[in-house]
Amino acid sequence: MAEPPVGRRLHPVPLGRRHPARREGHVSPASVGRCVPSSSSANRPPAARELAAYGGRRLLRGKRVLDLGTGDGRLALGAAELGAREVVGIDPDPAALRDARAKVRTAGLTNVLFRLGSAQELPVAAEKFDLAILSWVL
Amino acid sequence: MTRSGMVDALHETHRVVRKGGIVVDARPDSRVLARVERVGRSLGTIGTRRETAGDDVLSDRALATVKRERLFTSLRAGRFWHHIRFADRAELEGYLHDHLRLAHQVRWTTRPDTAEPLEIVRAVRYELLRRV
Repeated sequence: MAEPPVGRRLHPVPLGRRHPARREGHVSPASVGRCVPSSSSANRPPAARELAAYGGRRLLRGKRVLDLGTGDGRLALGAAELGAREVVGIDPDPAALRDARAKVRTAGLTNVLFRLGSAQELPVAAEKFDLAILSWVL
Repeated sequence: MTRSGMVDALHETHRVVRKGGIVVDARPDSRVLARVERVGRSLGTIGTRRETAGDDVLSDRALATVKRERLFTSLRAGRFWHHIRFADRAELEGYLHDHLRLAHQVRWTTRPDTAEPLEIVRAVRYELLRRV
């Protein structure tokens, strides 16, 4: 995702006051990941910038990648664009996953999948991935 | 997440990553004050809310637990800077108003004009781990 040009107005979207994560503070039930609105990725680093810090294309090329807490798919799409063979994004927020799937359709990517699930019970097989990314998760 | 929830998440991550695979953990670094800048010049700092700093300690302990369990070993760690841009001071203060992690007020060293574009610069820490 390209970084907006300097001077372009951004509209930060703070969590709404009625959002469950806001009411409950930082503690979520042990069996459920913390849900944040998909729009929260608007205030995350650009995917290319973040993935470059970890190793970029050299780290991702040809790899099977798990993006845990994928939200609206920011890093999942970024990983696919940097040459990952297959990317699976998992998040407990169905609204975020709807946004993520829409972005994948718009980008025309066929190697990115999203699944609903919590970090404590991943809906994937054992030893399937070469790389797992937990960005803003723990 | 509670600490036990984080450890469970890391156990699950270990299950689904192949032996020798890599896990990346990245999160805002509450040990480093965020800065408010204008054209690269610092105008003030923003602390981390106490509850969040406590959560970050729990995250560190969860990772230490799974390393002690010999599930992961550390490959390398680092930090990068994340810039969030605002059209003016009002927009920045609105962003902070109910932020979960950051303190809700800036400690200004130099108060900016109300109409100037500003940015918050936050440290993001990351660590690459190898799945044992």
